[in-house]
Amino acid sequence: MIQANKTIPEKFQLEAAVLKLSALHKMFSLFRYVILLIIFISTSRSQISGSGHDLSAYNWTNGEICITCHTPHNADLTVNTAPLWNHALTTATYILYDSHTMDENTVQPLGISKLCLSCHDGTIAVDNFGGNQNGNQYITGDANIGTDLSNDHPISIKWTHQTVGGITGLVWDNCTQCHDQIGENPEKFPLPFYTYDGGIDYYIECSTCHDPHNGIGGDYMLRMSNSNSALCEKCH
Amino acid sequence: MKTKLVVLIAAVVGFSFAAISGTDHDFSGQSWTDEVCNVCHTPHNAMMDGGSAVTPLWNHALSTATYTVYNSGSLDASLSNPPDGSSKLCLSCHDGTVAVDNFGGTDAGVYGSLTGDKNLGNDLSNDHPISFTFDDALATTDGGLHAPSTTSALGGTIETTMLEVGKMQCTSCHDPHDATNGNFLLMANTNSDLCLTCHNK
Repeated sequence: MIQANKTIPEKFQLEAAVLKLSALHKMFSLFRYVILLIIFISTSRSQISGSGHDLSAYNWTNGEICITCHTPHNADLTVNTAPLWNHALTTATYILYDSHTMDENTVQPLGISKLCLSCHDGTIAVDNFGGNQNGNQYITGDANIGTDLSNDHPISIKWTHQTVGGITGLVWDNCTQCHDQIGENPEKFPLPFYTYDGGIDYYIECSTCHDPHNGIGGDYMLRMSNSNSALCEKCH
Repeated sequence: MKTKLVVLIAAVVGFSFAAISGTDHDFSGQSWTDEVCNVCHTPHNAMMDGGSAVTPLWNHALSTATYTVYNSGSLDASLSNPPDGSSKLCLSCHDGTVAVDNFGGTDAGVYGSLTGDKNLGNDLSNDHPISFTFDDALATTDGGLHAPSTTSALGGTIETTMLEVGKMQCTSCHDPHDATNGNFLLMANTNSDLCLTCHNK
């Protein structure tokens, strides 16, 4: 007669407990490795994937992300503010931001801002890259800031707190907030400034606040969170 | 208490927080915003009015009220009506006709308009005159005003530190971002120092 062994005889209970524990341990080990693998995958995957700059879903990119702006070969050498540039450049002239409280003047967009505006001013098709001049996909909505920049935060504007002796309203009392050491460029600063003359003058550009490769994500691809206006208050 | 807590947290976090943090102009504790600046300012697509941008990067709904402006037998200044410049911006909350949480093109419908002393209303006849040109001619005609080239205690002259494109505005006495001196004043008014910067009494 076969009796279903529902309970473990006492003399085997300790052994059974150890085996059970061992099995559980193996399960948790595997679980731990699965978690680590998930973390590894999520951190090693590019930030730009899935971002507002990931245009790979459009058939005119052939499923690629980087190609709208960059190319490994035959890049546009006139552009030295971004590597291996591949997108058509804007030729627009802009209405610049101005107000009576400004201590520096804006100039027509420089360097990296000009690259951003090559899609975001709405004058150049987004699919005008790799030499294509017949694109017809234009940026729309809020992302199209147009060529009137008078109602947008100034860009291509010098940060001159070092020379002017302080600009009202800009946070600069504590040097180490931005600089590692006195005289050093802002290495610590999460919001980079840009120089076009080897470090004499530094400019605020679009990519001071925005990271074109996604930053912290979301609609605005900011370099840091603006909760409590923390980004604004880095400078203001 | 909440203000002090916000200030303490900001200090502990280690950021050099802006002067506006924790003031009456810091609405970040409200349910309808988690930012400080956006009730008044926005970095992109700021307000346009009559084809020109409303500076600086304005984001709050503007008032459409009509005003009674200050007048008196001894007034020599010529006041713009409606008030212009930055005063127009201040009045977009402080005349009590527009909700504070009406910004960025949307009225959150939670906070409503200012009440009490902060609501100046649209009858400004009982408030210090604003939106007038303050120049040497006015000082001479009035006889009781210092010339705008007179040094102020703010590191420059009346003209450079207090006037806005040569005009007196709300911002001639108030800094909306800094409440250190109380009532967002540019300087403490102990001994009426602020008043006596312009008034030669």
